[in-house]
Amino acid sequence: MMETTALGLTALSTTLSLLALWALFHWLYRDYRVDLFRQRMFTLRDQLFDIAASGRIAFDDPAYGKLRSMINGYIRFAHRINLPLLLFASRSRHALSQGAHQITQLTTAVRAQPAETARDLDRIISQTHWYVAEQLILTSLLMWLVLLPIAAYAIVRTLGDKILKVMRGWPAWRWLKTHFIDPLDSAALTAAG
Amino acid sequence: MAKQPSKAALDAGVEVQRIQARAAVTLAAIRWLGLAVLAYFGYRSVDTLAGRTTLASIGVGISVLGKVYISEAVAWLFGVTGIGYGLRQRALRHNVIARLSPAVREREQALDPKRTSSQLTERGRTKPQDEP
Repeated sequence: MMETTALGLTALSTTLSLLALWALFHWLYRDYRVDLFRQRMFTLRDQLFDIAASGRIAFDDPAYGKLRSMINGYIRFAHRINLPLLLFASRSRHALSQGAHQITQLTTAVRAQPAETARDLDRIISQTHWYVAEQLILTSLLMWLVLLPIAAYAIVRTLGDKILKVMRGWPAWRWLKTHFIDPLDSAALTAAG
Repeated sequence: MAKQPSKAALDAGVEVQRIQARAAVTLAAIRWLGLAVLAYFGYRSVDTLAGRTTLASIGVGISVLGKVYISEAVAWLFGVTGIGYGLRQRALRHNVIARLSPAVREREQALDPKRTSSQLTERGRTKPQDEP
């Protein structure tokens, strides 16, 4: 009887913790990500403004206007950027064709700039896309559960040796070696006889 | 007189609204369905205890698990305090945005009179009409 009670209480406590984690992820963490995304977009918009303020592009240039409008749109609707939106948008031919037309206009306007300015504007566009991708991945539970472990595995598999080499240069490496690696090595040697 | 948007632009706007509405409904469904499933598990846990278990035996269970629950309570306290800290920091950040953003806007408008805005509130939050 006592065992059943203990199990029941543990189940209840686990469920409450899961409820709290669920709320944390879907409300508080999402709000944080939206604020972070907006902050990053504001930084990119400031960089764009600085380029125009330095006289390298006119404030009324279509490239400036369209890029600023795009960033403004992302800031305004940051709370709506999510995986379902991407999936529904990718299935809508009408939205895709309209979007392709607008992106062509922006790309053409950017290419019409002097090389250095075009490169800086391209960098801002690429950075915007990176932040959007990050927002989509890190606000989706599905992405967290499926893609991130795969990405972590791929990174460790690809860069494992390089990471270890970098870690060997860290001051904390000696402590890690003494407390975790040496005992394992020692155990393996002992087991081998 | 302001230029009227074309039919294609209006259609695209409607389509975007439709996509956003579908996405918002899907996301809300995922959120609340998950919450409902967890609430059901919570109910089943209570149901397991109720009727089959007396208050006395719960007391025995609690006393046995006393040490576990104390550490769990500390973890909960830590979590709740962390959330409170985060919310307070966020409120302070929005206060700073409200204080500093008008000056930035004025300076930018002096250089670019046709400056466009992100349409957020003075505190850097989503406008109520833009909420899903």
